[in-house]
Amino acid sequence: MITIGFILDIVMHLLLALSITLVMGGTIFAIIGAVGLVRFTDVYLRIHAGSKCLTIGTVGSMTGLFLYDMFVNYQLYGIPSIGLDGIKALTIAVFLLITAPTAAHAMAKAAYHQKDKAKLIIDDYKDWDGANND
Amino acid sequence: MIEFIYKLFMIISALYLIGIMICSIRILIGPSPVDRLVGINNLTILMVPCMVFVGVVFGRAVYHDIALLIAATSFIGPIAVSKYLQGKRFEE
Repeated sequence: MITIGFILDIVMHLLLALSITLVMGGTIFAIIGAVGLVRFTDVYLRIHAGSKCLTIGTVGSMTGLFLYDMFVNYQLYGIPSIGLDGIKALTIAVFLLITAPTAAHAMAKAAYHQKDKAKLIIDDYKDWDGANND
Repeated sequence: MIEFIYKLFMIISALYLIGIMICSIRILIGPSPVDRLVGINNLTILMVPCMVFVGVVFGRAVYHDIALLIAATSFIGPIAVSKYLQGKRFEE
């Protein structure tokens, strides 16, 4: 006998599996980004590793926590709903997705102006007049 | 089942703490000021999920609020310091 509740139970447990996969995958991404921050040899490579891996790792973890909160609310109340913790986790994900690339861009510009150009092969920013004024 | 998920979240929080330690290595040995700045920015980014998972395990919502504040305002410091390293004043 297949009822609506049985199908909903299976769907919510698949959602739990997806949330745990997202959380663990995001953690592995973040650890790899932190290791790349130490192992790389140039300022620009370090900014690249930190910006990409840490952003996608933390945003993936927070999205997985949002799905986990939906599963917890299903087990408590019998209906999948969005709780306060899930809303906070999703807001943290949106803020990190906006602010982390902004800080990385500003730091890359500071590294360029610190005259750390020893390993630059192509320097497109050199001929622009606003490079020293903006 | 919920105990297993709580143990998993504690292990994940400890893994984020290991990432914070690895970032602090770059803060200690960074040759240039921009290297240390990158280390500090990534340390504050990694601090957010660690606090959120600790708050989920111990059932305290205060950790979520503090992590939300850190995620919203922690990018102002590196932007200000990078403006300073470019030789500019803050209002430009």
